[in-house]
Amino acid sequence: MLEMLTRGFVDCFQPAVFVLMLFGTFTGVIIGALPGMTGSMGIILLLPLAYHLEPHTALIMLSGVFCGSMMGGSVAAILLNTPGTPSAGATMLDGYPLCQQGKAGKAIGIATVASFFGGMVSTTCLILIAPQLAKIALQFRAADYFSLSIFGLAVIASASGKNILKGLIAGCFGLLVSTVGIDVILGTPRYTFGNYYMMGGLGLLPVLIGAFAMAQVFSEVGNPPREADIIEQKITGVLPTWFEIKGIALSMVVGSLIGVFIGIVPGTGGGVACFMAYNVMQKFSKNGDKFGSGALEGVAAPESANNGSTGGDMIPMLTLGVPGDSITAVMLGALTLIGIRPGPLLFTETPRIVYAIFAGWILIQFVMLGLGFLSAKFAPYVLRISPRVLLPLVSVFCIVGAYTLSNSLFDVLVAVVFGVIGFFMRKYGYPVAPLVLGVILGPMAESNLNRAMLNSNNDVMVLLQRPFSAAFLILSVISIAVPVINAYRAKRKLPA
Amino acid sequence: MKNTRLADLVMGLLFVFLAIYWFVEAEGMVKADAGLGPGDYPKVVAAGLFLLGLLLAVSSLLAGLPRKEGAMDRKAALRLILFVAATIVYVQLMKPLGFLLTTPFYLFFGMWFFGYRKYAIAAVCSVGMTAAIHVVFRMIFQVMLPELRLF
Repeated sequence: MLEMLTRGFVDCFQPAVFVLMLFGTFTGVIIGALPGMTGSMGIILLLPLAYHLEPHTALIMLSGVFCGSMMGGSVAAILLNTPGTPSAGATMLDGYPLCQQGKAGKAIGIATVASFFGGMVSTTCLILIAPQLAKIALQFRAADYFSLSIFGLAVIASASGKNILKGLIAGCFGLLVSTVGIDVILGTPRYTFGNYYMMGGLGLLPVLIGAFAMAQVFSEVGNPPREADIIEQKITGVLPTWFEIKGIALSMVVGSLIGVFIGIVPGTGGGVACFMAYNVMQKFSKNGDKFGSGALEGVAAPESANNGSTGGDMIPMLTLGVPGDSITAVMLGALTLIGIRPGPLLFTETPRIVYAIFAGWILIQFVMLGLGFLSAKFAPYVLRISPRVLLPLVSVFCIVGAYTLSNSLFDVLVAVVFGVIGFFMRKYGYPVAPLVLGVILGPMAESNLNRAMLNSNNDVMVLLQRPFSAAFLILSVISIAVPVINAYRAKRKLPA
Repeated sequence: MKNTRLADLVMGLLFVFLAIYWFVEAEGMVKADAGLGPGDYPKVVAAGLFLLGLLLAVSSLLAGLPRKEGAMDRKAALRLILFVAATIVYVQLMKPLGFLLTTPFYLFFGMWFFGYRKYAIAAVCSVGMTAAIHVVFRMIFQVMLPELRLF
């Protein structure tokens, strides 16, 4: 393993790879810092660039966006009392009071150190756990993969919205969209309406761009964004003292472990991890009563947790090809576009790529540490960028990004149509992540179901006879049933 | 009757009809002797969507009094239609007129639309950003963005 990891570091220190890793992380920090822009959107906006790169280079750059956006979100939370990303929601609770006390620099410094610590813990877990899980997953057969796709959809549908029914509908709609085009088994055109451009199906990139990024622009149309409050405070004292680091050590350890655990559990992510870590530390810290009024531990715990979740999130995505939340769903889409099929075979067939990613994740944490301290200097300027200028620019990037896939304006129209669909989905409470995951997993589910049926003479019971497959189907039922039962119980508890 | 329950009912029925259409189309496809035919998997998915859509429609009917939140007001709807229409017009004009000629106008319109009123800065940004995007995609990524062709 060490030899492969060393090779990974050599790959990462190639000038082009290193520069793009810096670029990706920097972009992630900026995107994360801008309220309304998420890591998912950052990854989507860089997809046209990733499309032209070597797979491991593209992956490392996109990983930089992922990790950078987690940390960048804290900057807006501290300076504007608005989390840049949902994962920084809990950071705001103590970060902004610190800013009001004139300690914005201190809060950003603590958030940076905690993010670095959480990121390193999660990267270590990623390196140790992922290859072992991949070994188990190597035993999967066609029926298991089909059931795994169902499990992935069930989990993300149940976890990414308040209404599980709408999550399942979104996932099913995604599967339906994936059936457009020439079928993968006999090559028959399906639902193409005689349109030549639809023969190849609806491109994943236009669907991703439309449903995530364009829908975000469209959702701002109804209520034009207001300008951010300009920060006049001079930001100093960013580097924390040794005494301060000792004071937040326990919060960082607890937050990181919570983050990793939450990240591994499919369907959850940084948004859940940060609040859980904050609540746990508020309960158990001797300074718990100071939480909410500017406690450094109140910044450290959520920040180490949300960065701790990043590596955890990647474990099921890389080893099983099943993303845990919307940002890893977008990452999965990005990998598919680059030509990488995540899953256990990735570890046996292209270990070089896997270990380059691992090495890249370690380096990204150090890059993030440096950028975090620097962000105290440049963030106030970034936050001055008017969203009224930014949104049309994002729209143009979406259009150009969709166009680059096959130099076709049809793909651009697909992106616009899915932008409108995504807008209405957000508006009426349908999560977008299951839709995208349905589009990604649809062909995999169909081809594996076909193979399973061929191997078993069309006996559907094969899905329950294989232990892995049966386990995934049972887990799917549980992941749908638990939120339904919880919602029912909560409804019964409400006074009439 | 502007309310989310009505929206759920409408969306539920929409999904039901979509699923029926998908299923009927799949019925007309070639059948396979072994394994799945081209229509089998879409039929399974359509059946799932049908059930879920029906469940949504029925539960919205049984849910009782309508709620007001979630309704889209007329002004917001008009703004959305206008912006989407402008985007489609921009995409359609890009082919004959080219990226360089159409994008500054779209960006300027977008900034005005979102409420940016410093027109000189908006004009400079529109032209500058169009040039920057063109250079990055055309020169670095070798993407052939649509160009104005007179002949």
